[in-house]
Amino acid sequence: MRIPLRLVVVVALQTLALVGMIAMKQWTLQTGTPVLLKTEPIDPRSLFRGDYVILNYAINDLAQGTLAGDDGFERHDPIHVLLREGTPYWQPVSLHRERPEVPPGHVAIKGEVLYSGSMMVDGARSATVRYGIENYFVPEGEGRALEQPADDEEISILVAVDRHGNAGIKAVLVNGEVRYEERLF
Amino acid sequence: MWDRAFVNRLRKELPVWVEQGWVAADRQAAILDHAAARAERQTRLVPVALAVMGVLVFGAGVITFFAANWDAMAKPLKLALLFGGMWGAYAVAARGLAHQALGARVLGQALTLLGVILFGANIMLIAQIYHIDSHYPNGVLLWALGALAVAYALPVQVVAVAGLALAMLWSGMEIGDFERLLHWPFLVVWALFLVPILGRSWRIGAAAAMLALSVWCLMTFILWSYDREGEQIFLLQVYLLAAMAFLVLGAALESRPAVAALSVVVRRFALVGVLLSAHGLVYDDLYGLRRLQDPELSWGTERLASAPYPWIVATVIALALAVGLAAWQVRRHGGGRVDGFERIGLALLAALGVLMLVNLFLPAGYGAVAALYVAVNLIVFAGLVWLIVAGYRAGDRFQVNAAFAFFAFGMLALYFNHFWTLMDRSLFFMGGGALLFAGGYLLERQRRRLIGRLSAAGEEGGAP
Repeated sequence: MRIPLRLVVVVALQTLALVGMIAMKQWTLQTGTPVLLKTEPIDPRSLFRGDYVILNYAINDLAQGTLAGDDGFERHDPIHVLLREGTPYWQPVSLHRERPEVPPGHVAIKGEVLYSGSMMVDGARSATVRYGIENYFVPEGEGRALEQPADDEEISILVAVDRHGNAGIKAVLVNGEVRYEERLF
Repeated sequence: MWDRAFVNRLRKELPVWVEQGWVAADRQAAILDHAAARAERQTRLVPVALAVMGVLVFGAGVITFFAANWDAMAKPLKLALLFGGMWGAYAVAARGLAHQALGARVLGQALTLLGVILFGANIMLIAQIYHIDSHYPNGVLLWALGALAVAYALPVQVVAVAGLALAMLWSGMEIGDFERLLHWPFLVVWALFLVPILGRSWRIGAAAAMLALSVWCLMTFILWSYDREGEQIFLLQVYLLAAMAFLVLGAALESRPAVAALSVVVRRFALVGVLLSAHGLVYDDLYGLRRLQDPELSWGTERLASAPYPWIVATVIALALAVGLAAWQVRRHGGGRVDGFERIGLALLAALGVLMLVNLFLPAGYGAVAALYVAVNLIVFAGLVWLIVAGYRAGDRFQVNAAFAFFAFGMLALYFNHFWTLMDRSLFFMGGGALLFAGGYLLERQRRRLIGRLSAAGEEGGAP
């Protein structure tokens, strides 16, 4: 095969990989179940780094033992958390090593255990879980608004969870109003 | 040495040498052509180096420019810039690589590298634009695989080197940040890079591959030191056997013309791997001797009752590989002609192999482990002396220097080693010194015999 032709194949492969990244994310956002999650008060020491915001959800710190399902998760273990629809926020129901059956009104979100047992949640051994929705890039200078919301402002995140448990941020809401929304273009 | 100044000087000197009768007149042109060709090959490195540096600086500038104006751009414009930049770099690279002129090909190589850099930048920037926040080492893996595809498709060595660096970074993140105890997927990616490196006989690529493997081994060993300290000794054993297997493989490459140029690179890295792993075996704490001697001690490595099952399998496989390759290499070189010196080397290897197997099953008692430790040390130092002698015999200066340096490091390590303070250290070193004197005497005797034999052969053959 001649060099230009070989290069075309390589460039096509690399382009496909990049487009694939976008497509997979969009597939999660388009087909996933919308789930509203509450963001906890954000740690002021590590909230705003450069031009992205670190989001800390109530479902990041889970109590092993008090929640149903599996127990004894260790650092870096994969985990599936079953969430039940709530008003307005979705709540964790059970923890699983394998993807569980998902009843109506529930979703199973996939994550990775960052720390296990380092602190207690509701008197039980904790599991700090990361779902890949903890960072959100915002235009430079606008992170402060999310970093230090006013007393009467409540920030929540609308997340899409697809049928494989992958999650993506669909929108950032302030007092229930959409502030940032994810679009393809 | 083969620079243009040398060629010019040669051009002036050669007529004098011809006139003096030192060089035949009809050889003059051939000598000059040879020197000019060597000088030409050397000067090619300068434009390549400059072009690569230029590409790196230009790439950094482009990324910085976009970063500074990123927020002001709409998503479609951002995507157009990202994809357009990458496609543009590859398009110009294709024209350069297809060209016959050296300068165009150098530019083509540099722009191919730029294309790979922009592919990596695109992964990160698309992740940022679309808030893709997954397991971040995967981004570096994707980048490395992009470089791998380029290395397969195009004869651009620098891309293979960059890809190996990325694979190392990816594995470093998995090992360091995610504590993957044995991040074996690295070995798969590493092996995939070997295909174009061997196929195109890339020497720098081969050096990069061996370096990447060495760094990966080191990172794994460091993590193991924290996580499974009692198993470090078994890991070192496997490293030593694997490095020996590479040493034999490196020697085998020499007889294949297509990859003979890579032989010296593989052999040197493998030799350093053998020496480093063997040096590790000199430390008593890795055997758990300190805690076996004083069970109340709160620090130091704990000796396992026996090696966990995977280590038994790994050691046996590595041993079989090293022995099998060595036997294959001996057979290829007419197996019957193994001289006394080579037999000593094979005996040392066999003894070390047996001690490694014993170490896997040895009960955690002080006496038995101390005896094993002393035996391993004796074999390691005897092996170092053997390597020095073998280096002299083969005229391999690198081997002589490296083995000698590790002999000195080993002696230094022993001097400060806790275990030997329990013995009469002066007696130990006097005994060791006497052994070395004896070894030196035998070596000199053998050298004289060898020279004598060579001279006799020369006289019989009518050589001057």
